[in-house]
Amino acid sequence: MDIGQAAGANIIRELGIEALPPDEQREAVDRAGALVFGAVVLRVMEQLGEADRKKLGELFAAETTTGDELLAFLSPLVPNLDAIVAEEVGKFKSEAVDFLDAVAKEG
Amino acid sequence: MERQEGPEFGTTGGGPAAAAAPEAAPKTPLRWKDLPMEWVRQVRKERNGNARSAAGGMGLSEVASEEDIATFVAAHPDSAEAIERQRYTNRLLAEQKAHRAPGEVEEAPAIEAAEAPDFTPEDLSVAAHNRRKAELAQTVVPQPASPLPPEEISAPSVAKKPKTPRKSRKKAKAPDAAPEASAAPDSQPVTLGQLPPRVAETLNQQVVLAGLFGGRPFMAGDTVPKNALLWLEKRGSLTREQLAALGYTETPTEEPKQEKPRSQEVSPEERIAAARTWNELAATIESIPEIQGSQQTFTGEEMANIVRAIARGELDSTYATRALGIRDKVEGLESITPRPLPPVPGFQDTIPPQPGQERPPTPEEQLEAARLGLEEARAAFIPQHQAYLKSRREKGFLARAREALGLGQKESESELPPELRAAKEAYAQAKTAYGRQMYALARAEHLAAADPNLPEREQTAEAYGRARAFQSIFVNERAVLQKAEAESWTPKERGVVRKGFDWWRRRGKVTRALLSTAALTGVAFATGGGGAVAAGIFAGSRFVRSLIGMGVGHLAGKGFDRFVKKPGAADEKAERRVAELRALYAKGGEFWDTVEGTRAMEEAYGNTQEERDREERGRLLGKAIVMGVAAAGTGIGLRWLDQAWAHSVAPVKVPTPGPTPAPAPAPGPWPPDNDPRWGYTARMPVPNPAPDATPLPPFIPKAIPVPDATAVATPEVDNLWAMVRAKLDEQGYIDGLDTRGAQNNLIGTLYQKFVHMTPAELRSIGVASGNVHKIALGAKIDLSTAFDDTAAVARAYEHAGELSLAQTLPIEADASALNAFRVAHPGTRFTEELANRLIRERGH
Repeated sequence: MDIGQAAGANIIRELGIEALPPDEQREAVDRAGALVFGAVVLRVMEQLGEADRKKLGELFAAETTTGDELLAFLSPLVPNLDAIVAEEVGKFKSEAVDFLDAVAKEG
Repeated sequence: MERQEGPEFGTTGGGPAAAAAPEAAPKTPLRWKDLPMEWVRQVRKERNGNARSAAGGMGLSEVASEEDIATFVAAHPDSAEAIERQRYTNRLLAEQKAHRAPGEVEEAPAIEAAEAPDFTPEDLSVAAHNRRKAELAQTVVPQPASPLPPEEISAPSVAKKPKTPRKSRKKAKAPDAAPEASAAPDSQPVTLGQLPPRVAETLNQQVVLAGLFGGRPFMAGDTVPKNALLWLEKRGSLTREQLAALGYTETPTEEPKQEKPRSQEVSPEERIAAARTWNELAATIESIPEIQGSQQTFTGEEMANIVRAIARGELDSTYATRALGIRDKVEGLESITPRPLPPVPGFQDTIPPQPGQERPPTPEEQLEAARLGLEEARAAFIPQHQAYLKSRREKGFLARAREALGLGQKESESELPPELRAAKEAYAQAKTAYGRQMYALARAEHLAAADPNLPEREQTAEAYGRARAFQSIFVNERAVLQKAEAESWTPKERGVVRKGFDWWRRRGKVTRALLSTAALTGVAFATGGGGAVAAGIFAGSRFVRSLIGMGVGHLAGKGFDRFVKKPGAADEKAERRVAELRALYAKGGEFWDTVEGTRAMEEAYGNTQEERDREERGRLLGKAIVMGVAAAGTGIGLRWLDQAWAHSVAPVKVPTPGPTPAPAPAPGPWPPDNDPRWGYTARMPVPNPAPDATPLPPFIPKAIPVPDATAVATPEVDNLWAMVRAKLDEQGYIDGLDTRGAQNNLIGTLYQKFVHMTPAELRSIGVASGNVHKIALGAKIDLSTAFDDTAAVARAYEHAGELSLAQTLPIEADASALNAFRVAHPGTRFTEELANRLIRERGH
């Protein structure tokens, strides 16, 4: 599955999640979301200097930091933030679908 | 390492000497917590009629009576040896403790400071205890899944098993692994019974306290590993001559590994923060006597058990106290540690081949082999991957700037060093191989249990196989890789990543679910490009609100209709929830722009969705029983928004049972008896059917899990029938049955439990009058007697679909309808068939 296409695709069915009970569905989706978020953070870290990484850590640590504040901080420092997010979402989804297709193909 | 099991393992406690002469040694006491929890629950239930009531029966730390243990061993003869080992371990630990001065920290004997292990003796005691317990549980009760996620999958495994020989290989070996010595051709196996008793005792103290050789003490018939003998020689317990006399002539090649001691000054908080795995965390917490939470005080053991349940996915992380940083640690582990693999039915029943007899590997063995292959491939890949990431990072600012401007590529396969590329490919192949095994096994498991007449059987089996492979392999491996990537940074930067995860978790489960679903369904990209994409991940408030808005819109559409269509109290509650949510949504922008507004929306939305989940769970559970189908795969759909924008997905078809669903013969119980997904965890031994045995009957649950079985009498719910109904309804079990008659049959069968109680028994559950029909307003009645009664529940569900109401339920609402018919049609013969028809008419 092409990464660019995967970003906007609905892959719920391909993942088979609907076959799980509701609590497991939620857990599966929650873990997937956390992994995508983690991948984005790791990519973003690569593009920040030491001082900015420190500042990012402070923002993460503050209880009151909102998503909007994070975006406001990151947007000027990481001009391709949207592309990174899209790429990481697409990568996760395309790899998951490819993996499951390969698994089911000869399963 | 091979442990020989000899007939000399008796039922007394005391170790090798006792094993040789059972009657000579006093029995070392066992506590209830040393025994498998399933059995403890069973005993509690038999004694108190309430398996959940810890206070009502024996405490886990109390000593079990010898009579109880004898009963247990009689019922589970295979447990005798494990019981014996447990007694021996307890005795060793007790002796070691007795030799310490008050306040003195326990030390493993004969371990030099520089070689002492990297954990405190308390940890070792706990670890050894847990190992005993797990071993015992495995012996007695078939529990396919380990109580905790496998240690070896977690991050430290990365360094455990380098593929290519390296100088550092010895260092990477686990401290409890059996050291290997090169075997001398002329050496004879030496059993513990051959050693002088004092030497045997010394060795076992070391084994138990330092967790060496699996932490499992040797018994008289066990073969002692060669390196253990050499270690004994080195410390002067055995002479070379004695070794030679025993038939052993090898020279040492490696000694039992000891690692550096942990500082005795380390605080509990620091030890908790340093825990790398679920097992380490649980063991650390268990060693803390008391933990003061914000609302209550826990013993270390209680909190450790909670952590273990979280690790197994049975509890949410919010059950962990925030004290000592426990919840933070739990959430950290949740984000990076793989979940345990799903249970593999029958795995432990595999019969080993007889000598000289060969058989093809079972699917379970193939699965295990594939898992080991993946472990190995991962261990080879990750260090190279980390090194590559570091080298990229060292390219400096220019490379980062190029990437920021979209000029650089993050990583191109062709640019990877050949060795890394090969390792990556091997890892991918091993992952796929493991996935295929798991997919095939899960699919087969589903097909075997599903109703053969179900048209969607194949589809749902495939979906189930995919879901298992996704959750257990793809997601887990991603998590391990991500953690490894984070570890390629310096500790300071790693802290930023960790704080990032903490921040993500603080978003709240509703927001996380919305955003995660938005990413998986593509809605994050469908609702507008540009900033919306990043906002979708970083949870910009407007984006979250728009998602909730879509959810509300969905509830107002078809989903809403389906949700509220059914009659009954549960639906009214659900409808009320949706109405609340819609009212909040209608308040508009000004309200939403406040933090309180967004939180209120999130909460209302989350409550609504959870209500739906409960309803769905109950419905499917009922269908599974009535129809004998594998309901897990019948397409319940993703609750969190997916259907709101499922433009690219065909709607999930939910099969509707016919008017008189006949239980189809099922080849095995479904869901599996030990499947926690269904809300109960009955794990009692199930005998293997004979190969030509007739098909097993449809699955019957062992009990109805109700978190709080206490009901309070109110003007609306003022009798036991109504209380039982309300409690079942609350948990969604009522809607799980398709007709009113079936519902009443379930309620009525449970209700009969109370009807047959004596006045004294009724008083003991809260019916002060002792009369089942006289319930005082405000009375608190414990209904667990019925919900926990295995036979009653089985009977209730067995009859739930048969509508034999006229015979078994001359009570309450439906009975009054039947009476009305009888009055209106005097002389009519009142058959069951007629009763069924009347009840059906009432139910639809």
